[in-house]
Amino acid sequence: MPERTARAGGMLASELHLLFRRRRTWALFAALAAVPVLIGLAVRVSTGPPRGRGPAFLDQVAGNGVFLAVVGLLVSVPLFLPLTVAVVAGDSIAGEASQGTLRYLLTAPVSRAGLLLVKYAVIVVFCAAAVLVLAGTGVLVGLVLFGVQPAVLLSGDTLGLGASYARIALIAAHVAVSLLGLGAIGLFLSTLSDVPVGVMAAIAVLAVAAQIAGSLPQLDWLHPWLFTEHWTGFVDLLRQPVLWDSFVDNAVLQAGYVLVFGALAYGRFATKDVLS
Amino acid sequence: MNRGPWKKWTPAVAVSVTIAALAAGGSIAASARTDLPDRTPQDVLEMVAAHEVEGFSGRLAASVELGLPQLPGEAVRDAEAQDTGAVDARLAELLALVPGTHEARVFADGHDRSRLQLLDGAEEKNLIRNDDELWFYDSVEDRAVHATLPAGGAGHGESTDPWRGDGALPTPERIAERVLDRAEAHSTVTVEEGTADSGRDAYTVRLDPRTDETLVDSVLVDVDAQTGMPLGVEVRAVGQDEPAVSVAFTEFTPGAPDAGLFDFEPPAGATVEEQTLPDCGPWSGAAGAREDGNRGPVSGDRARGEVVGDGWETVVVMPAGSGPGELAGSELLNELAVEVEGGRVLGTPLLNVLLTDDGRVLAGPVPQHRLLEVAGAGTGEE
Repeated sequence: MPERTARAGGMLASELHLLFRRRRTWALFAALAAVPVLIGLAVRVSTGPPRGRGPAFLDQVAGNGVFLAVVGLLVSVPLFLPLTVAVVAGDSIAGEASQGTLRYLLTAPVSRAGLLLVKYAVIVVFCAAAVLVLAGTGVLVGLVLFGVQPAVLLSGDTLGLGASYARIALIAAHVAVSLLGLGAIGLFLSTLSDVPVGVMAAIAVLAVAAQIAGSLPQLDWLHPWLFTEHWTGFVDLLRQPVLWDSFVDNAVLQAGYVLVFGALAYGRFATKDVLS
Repeated sequence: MNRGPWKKWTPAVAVSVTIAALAAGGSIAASARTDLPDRTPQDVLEMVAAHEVEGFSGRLAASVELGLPQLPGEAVRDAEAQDTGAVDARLAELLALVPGTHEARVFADGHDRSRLQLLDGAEEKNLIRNDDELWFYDSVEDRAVHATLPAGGAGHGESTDPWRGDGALPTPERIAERVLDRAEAHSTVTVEEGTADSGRDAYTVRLDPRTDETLVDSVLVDVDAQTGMPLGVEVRAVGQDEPAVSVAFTEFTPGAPDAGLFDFEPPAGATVEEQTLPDCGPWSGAAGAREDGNRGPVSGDRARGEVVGDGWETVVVMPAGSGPGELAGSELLNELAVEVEGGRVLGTPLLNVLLTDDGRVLAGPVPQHRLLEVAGAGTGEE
């Protein structure tokens, strides 16, 4: 069905256009970009924390700007990034429903499943862009404030500059993939309600609750099934040779969440009465 | 209502059921047994003795359940900070270090080049041997220790070489070689076919002590069916469900790893200490003591002590005033030990240690009453 694909493609292009034209999207990007800037400035004006205190790698930032991007990602993974994803994913269907534009979207010659796919693709693009903004700002600010040197890995091996940035790209990829499951959950929740703010809050609460559950040893049977389980697992990418376990486990886990909640979202959205 | 709406939920149900089936099926597939050629215990022991794995990469999981009270990390730091009892500090460090589960990656290329990476959250400790160069690196303290093996010692696998002889690397291979060495003299040996933790086909050699005068219930050694390399060792203690000690490869790939892994340069800015052997850095204490605890009865050198009994009933008697004697003053030990007639006993599922009132230290994988008997007999002779 090349025609339908083309129509869905056109819809995706217009939805992406809409996403990047919204002032809200850029406010979210600005908030994320502020994280490495603030950390960088704080480290620059202070004498730096003693070794072993504060977030991992923070003590290395002062000596090597390469690590600023890593610290920025590490700090943003638990809350800032999920919050931004919650805003975009929560708004995806519920926002249209509350504004009464969902009806018009459905008059377009694209199936409901196609519309869901387009909406999810927008969420995926946003996740990637958000991580890119965060990591990119970290790299640039680190370069300006501290200069760069070859990075020292946890294993004590020293990497060349190119390889160091390749590792940061890997870490960024891990973080972006980590957000895909949350995006799918958000899409499903967004089909349930016509109140986008409520959905956004629910997604953010879920992300935090899953991390709290993940920190309780009494629930260790549940841990492998939590979508937040490998969120900070990217430190394994800073070993030599790279320990791929968390990256692969995370990708498989997120794929599972995408499939389950994508299918749930389809079940709900395809049977939903769209009145407004 | 027509049946239409329900069809839309079919994908959701199908995906969930498929994932549940995959999750369940995965564990069934993992426990499926393959058909290996039948081998007698003797065959398998010979396989181990003759095995030649020149290079491999692997992932190790070691777990120790000694039933000791879990010491919080603060207790260790307090003991270190107070600086009053160096013995307390070392003991606390050891007790906090040993129990629980540890993960490591191991890379080896021949006998002279190896690398062990202890993984602990966002921390890592590295132990690298490249011919006669030894390196230790701790990511938390950004500290490196360097030592050079004495010329001639390297490559010959003599006991002066701390990386082979006493096994600073407590891999299943080293431990199994020790355990199986004189297995048949004191144990009933049986063999089963199975799958090692790494998912490779393996023979499981089971040793059951022929005596009741020991805390060891059984020892299980997984031997790789293809290469004869021991892939896992499990020591079970009498009256304990969980294995008291278990060291096993969870991943194992034969073949030499990237040579660059063994070529270690300490990072710029790290503290580098030069050490002369045989005091080989942070490992001489911790690893040595850990081995003594794990090794069981058939271990080799007991340099300073007198040995009473043999096989699984072995008891080591350290005379008063020898090394561990100073432990007697340790407050931490006093809290852990139980008063008995004539001394105090530090009991673990696999090892009992008796500190007699006259300063001797008796240790062995034997019940408490046997230690007391040996202690009593010892005083009688003197």
